[in-house]
Amino acid sequence: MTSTTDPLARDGEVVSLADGGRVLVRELLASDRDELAERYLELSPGARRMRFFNAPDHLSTRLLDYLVDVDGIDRCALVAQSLDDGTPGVGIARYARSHDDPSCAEAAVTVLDAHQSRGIGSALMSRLAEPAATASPRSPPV
Amino acid sequence: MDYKPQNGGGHYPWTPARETGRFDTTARAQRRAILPSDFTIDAEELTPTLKVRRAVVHYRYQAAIESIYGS
Repeated sequence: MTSTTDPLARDGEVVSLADGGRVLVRELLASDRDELAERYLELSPGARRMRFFNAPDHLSTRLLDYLVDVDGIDRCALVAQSLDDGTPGVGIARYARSHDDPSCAEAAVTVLDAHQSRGIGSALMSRLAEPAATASPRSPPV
Repeated sequence: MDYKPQNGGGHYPWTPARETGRFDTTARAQRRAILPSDFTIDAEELTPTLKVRRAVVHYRYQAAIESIYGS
């Protein structure tokens, strides 16, 4: 898995996968909201359960609002876009810091079933670690 | 942390074949309950990334679970 200086990388980082495919890894935007809802519908029940520990039929408005509400510090999310087959979003990873202990965070990653085992989840998680480690968390609650 | 068990909602007959018919019988949910409210992060039923905290849910809604699976 390698990174390139492809011009597409101006919006993120182009990552070459072991199978020869390429994905653009970039920050999640509020404008990704509708696509997030659509891609969720493509997940198998098993993939939904692995992500949320349950398998709701769809992401509710409230859940979507929460999922796109990221600040890059306490809540950060990265998405992977395929540069090969036109699939806009094939994976997403995020972390959310603990309210009680901001030095700790919980992570979650989801990759569309058809794109699993390609290294996309690893690419996302490895890049998510950087902002998690470098961004200054808010002060812990008193 | 203190989680108070709650009685929750009611339950109703459910035909599982439509939604879980492709699973083995032992893996199918036979009944389900409607809880009085959605799971939330504030109520600590969901983690910050929206995963269900099963232990909290099991404890808090044990009465509802037992009412549909207890006998």
